Amino acid sequence: MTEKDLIRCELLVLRYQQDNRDEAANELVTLFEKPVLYYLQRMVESEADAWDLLQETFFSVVKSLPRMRDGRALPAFVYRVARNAALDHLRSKKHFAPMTDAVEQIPDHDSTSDFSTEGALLVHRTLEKLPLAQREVLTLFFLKDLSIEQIADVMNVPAGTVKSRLHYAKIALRQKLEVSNVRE
Amino acid sequence: MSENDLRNELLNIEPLSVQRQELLQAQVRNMFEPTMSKGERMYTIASVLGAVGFAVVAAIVIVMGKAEPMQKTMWGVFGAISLGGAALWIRSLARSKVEIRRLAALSKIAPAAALLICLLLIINAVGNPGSESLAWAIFGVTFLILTVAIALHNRIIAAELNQREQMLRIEYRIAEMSEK
Repeated sequence: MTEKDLIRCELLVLRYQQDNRDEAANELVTLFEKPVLYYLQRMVESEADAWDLLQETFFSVVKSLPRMRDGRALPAFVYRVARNAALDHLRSKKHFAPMTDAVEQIPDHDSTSDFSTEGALLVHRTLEKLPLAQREVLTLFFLKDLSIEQIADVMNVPAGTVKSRLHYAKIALRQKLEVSNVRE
Repeated sequence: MSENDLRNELLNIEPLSVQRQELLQAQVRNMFEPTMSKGERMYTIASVLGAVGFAVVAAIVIVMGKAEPMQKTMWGVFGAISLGGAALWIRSLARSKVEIRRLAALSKIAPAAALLICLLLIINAVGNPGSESLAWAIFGVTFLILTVAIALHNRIIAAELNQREQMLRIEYRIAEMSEK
């Protein structure tokens, strides 16, 4: 998230404490509706389920606001709640497989980091073809709302694991993009 | 296309359902409404019963009692304040909401009401010297001190939050300028 967005998160928590609830509600929707819905759609695939999970996420977040002191922690908290809701949903539908990680060392210079030259639509479509663990980490990475450490916190894994998943997810995405390009 | 552009483009690929958006916004506004818990509801009902009971007793004393005019005036003032409180609590019960803003506004006039009660009790003690009226006057002063202390505490918290908001607005402006 940009510094401006983090300040807006702080203002959101502050407005809640000041009982300026309409503004806090609007800010929550403005800041998180689109990116969290995008993340949830990548997790559960069905749009209707993603909307329901987003509502569930916002409900839990609003309930936790009275105890929240640091507004800057809000983005990671929102994504953590959304992730838990999505995983519970997948478990209930029996679509959930445990995530496994490769343990190889990740090169310092990650040559696969730049997808800026790819068309967003192509990246978006190709994301759907990746396994859940890779799709999730790449989605969080592309949304730019969280740092690697925060993604690790959200996914409840060490930062090294996130870097590892991200590295292999980028390779997988790159390969699928190349296949798509060749076909076109 | 920068990575931030990629983010924005990804987010704009699938247009959001306007119907679901409106529904979510309405649901979020409801989520932010402070609703009454069972305990708060019981407390409010007890407060209404206490306040209405007190107002009824005050009315009986004023109409049928043989008290001094000064004491009847006091009963009248206290009864009216009780009725005012009861009306607000009944309104909260009807809406099933904790009306925090209204309560905050009331906390601002509470010291004035406490001062009025305190003055009446002191005037009564001066006019009718005795241990009972002295005890009531001491109660009035204690009540006033407590009310002022609570009001002051609330004002300090509100001032701190406002100051924090102003600081964040300035920080936001600085962040905005540094982005340009």
